Amino acid sequence: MTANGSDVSVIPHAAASSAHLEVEDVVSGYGQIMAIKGITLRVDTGEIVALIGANGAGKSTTLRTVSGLLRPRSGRITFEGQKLDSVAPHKIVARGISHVPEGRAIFSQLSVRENLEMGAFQRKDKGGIAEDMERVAVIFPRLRERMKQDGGTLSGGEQQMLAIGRALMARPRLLLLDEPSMGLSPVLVETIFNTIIDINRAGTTILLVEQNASMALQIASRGYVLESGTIAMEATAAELRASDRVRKTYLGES
Amino acid sequence: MPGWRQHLPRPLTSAPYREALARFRETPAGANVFRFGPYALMPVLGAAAALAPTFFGTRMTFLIILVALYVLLRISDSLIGVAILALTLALLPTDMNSFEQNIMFNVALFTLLGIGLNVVVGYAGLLDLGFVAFFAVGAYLYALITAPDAGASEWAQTWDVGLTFWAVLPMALVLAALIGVLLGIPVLRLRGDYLAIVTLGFGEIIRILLTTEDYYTGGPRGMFLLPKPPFFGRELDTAYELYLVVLVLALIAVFAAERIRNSRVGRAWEAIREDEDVASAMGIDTTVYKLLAFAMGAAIGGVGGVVIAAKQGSVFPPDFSLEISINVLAVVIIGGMGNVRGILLGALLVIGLPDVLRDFSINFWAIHLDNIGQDYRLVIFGAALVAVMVLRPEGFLPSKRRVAEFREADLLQEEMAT
Amino acid sequence: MEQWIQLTIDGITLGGVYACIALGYTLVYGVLRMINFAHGELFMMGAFAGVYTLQGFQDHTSLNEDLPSLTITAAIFMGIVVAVVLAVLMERIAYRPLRHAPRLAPLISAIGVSIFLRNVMLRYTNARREVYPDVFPDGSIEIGDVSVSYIKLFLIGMSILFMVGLYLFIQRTKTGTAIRAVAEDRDTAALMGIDVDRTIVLTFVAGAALAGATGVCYGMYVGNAAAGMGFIPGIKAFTAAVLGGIGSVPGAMLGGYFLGLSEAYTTKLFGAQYKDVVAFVLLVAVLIFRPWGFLGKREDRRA
Repeated sequence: MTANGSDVSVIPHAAASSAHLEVEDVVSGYGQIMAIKGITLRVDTGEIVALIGANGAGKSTTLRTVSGLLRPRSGRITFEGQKLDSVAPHKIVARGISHVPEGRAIFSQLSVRENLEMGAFQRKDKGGIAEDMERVAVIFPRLRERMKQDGGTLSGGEQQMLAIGRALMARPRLLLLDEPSMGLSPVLVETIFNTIIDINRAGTTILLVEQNASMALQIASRGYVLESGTIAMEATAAELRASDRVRKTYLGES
Repeated sequence: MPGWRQHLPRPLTSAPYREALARFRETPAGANVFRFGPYALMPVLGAAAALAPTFFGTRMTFLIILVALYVLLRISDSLIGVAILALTLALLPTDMNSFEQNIMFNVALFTLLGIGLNVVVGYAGLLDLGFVAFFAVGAYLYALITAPDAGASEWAQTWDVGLTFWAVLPMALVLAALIGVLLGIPVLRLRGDYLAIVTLGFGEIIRILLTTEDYYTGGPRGMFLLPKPPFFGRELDTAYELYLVVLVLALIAVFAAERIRNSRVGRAWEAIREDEDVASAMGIDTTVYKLLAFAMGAAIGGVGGVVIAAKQGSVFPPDFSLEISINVLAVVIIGGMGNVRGILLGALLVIGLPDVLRDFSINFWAIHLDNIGQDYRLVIFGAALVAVMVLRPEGFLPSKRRVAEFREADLLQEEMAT
Repeated sequence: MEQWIQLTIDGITLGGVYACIALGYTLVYGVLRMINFAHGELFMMGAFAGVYTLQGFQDHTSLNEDLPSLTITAAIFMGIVVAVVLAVLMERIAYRPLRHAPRLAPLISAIGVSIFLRNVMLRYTNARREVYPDVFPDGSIEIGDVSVSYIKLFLIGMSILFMVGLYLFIQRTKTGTAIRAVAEDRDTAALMGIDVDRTIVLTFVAGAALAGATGVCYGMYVGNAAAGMGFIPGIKAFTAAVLGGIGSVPGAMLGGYFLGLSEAYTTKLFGAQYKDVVAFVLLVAVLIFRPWGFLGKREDRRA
């Protein structure tokens, strides 16, 4: 049911300049249950792309498949022109993709500093790592004060900052963000989203999964709507914001 | 009809054979062959196994029995099949020499023990490494009650209840079950891994206590001169007669275990085995059901202990070493966890085969190994446990449910990249 | 009083050994949630590697007399090498294929490995003990009325050294931090770019190195190596790991010393024949009253 019934025009693929990440016809899931049933999407260099949808629509599964935690049952994933499916997750990190998983997944028994160090696990350049550690501390001053504390002692917002900061430590060219707003106060959501914009401006392409569709569509250039494992709509963020269907279902307007 | 075709040696299941067989099956004659063939085959196999000792030496006999029983176990899924199997087993040792009869006794005894452990490991998914403890409880209970003063511990000399084998059997059953519950209460609330190590420890402790508490147990001196089971005015004293006793006990145990397995309790065990957290979320009181499995396994182990004490006529602490627990575990695992039929096969392979190959030697190139069955059995068991888990976790005669479980796990594994 | 001090020293000696073995259980349990039943066998194999190394020096050189520090170091090194190689092999052959199998499968496989190794050595040695050549200087130091032999001091010192080394490795190195990360959340660790399989192997390696080295020192202490020597210490070390809180590195050390001391005092209070019983009683008691151990985290008990 790809894009049928949508009331916005589909952006033709040819319009895109340089494909960064391409997901083609990917089927994936857990055990016998396929949470995504043939998804095609693309993220171009420098973009923020939002992936919105209800709980269980397959958003997280999509990200987990891209980052290699799940192996696609069929379909193709390419990143910067190289095949990505069936590559082990730690090698995908080396290729330049970082994934901030749902629920932050901070190492609660590791200190904040150790968490950040783990983010840079693949890198050998000590100087560069120290630089990036400083950069993260500038972006998130709250983390600087808590460097020696265990990750588990941080508040929800601080954990989200740490999770994003940790992902940046790998110097990714593509950042996958899974529900960064989850469980945060509106003020904190604002802060986090501003940071996401900053990170993007500094040159990192972002694929953002959000249930908070209005926030996501404000900062994204394009978006995909995921419904029960398939892409229901695909359009620019402005068009999606204007669409009746999106407004009713995902923006909570009547 | 039993799907036994798929279990024939691999070349026969390859495509051309399969197609030919399928075409044959379409014909009216073929359909009848497939329908009644197994029933015609069963008595033949039974007869072949029962007559083998008359015509062949020990090793050849054992090979024939192994093959015949394997096929019998494969194709007999009806009551008639079980009856033929039981009859075959009962008649097997009639023409055997005493060495062979003793092997068959051990096979039967470990089948009985395996049925008990299988309730714990196979049905409920609890790893018990101290099964020997319950075996020891039964054996020492029999010794304490029946030993004449000359062979009894000091404590046992102070009283005399005058009970015989048949009275001790149910007592051992109850006592072992009770001890199983007492031991189970603290540990069954916890993960299976803890259970494994606690039971392992318990098995060792029992052996140590049997040695140190010599006032009660006779210590390293043990207890001896134990009577054989009385039977209508005479004593059952040959290996064959005792083999028959074990066979009957094993049959009873099988029926009991299978009945319970197919009841509500059995379904609860299955749920616990698959996922304990889910099971308890479904409202199953996992501790109670785990205790039940543990007690039932223990009870059967206790019964087995009474039999071995009567057979040997003596009990000594070293008879109840960890090796017994390992042997029973290997019987269950190699036969196929969760399947009572596999246990007989497991016992033949784990208990019978090493005895038959006791003095078998390999002299090949630079390899010179003597007394394979006697000296290398545990080396082989160790490797076999790993091999079975890695290559064929469902065992050689698995239950169909178990195959499904393991296959699903494989599928899941393929999907995970890490 | 001297007697109690003596017992305390014995307890610390033994406790250090238990603690060193327990660390291997706890590390592997941390990353795989699996009891490596064959871990005690690594200790045993280490002791054999040590005894054969020293016997080799004895037979072909005079270094055991001339330069015992060198031969002892070589023996410990060989103990580590043998244990590490075996650990890598067992992980590869017996455990990794079962990573996603039902929980019972790796447990049974581990028991298989344990039985296999023990009985291979039993056959290889024809069930005899291999006697350690007398390389360590005899004698003891006297503190008041208490005398402590050099070898005992050596064992106490080495076990502390091994533990501190392991602790620093786990806490201070990048690999150690990765091991802790994998223990906490395997998926997220993979997302950091950590090679989870490699980290699991390294965890086995760290535990095995410790067990192998401790095996050599313990073998020198008791004077021999035997195929069955890994079994009871293995169970006890596991008990120590549970006492301290399985998965917790400081817990394993604490548990080891606690168990060692309990055993020493039991010998005095109830008689030597009960020293193997006390570990079991403690294990059951802890499982009843504090299943997450002294230092473990409460929510871990069912995880």
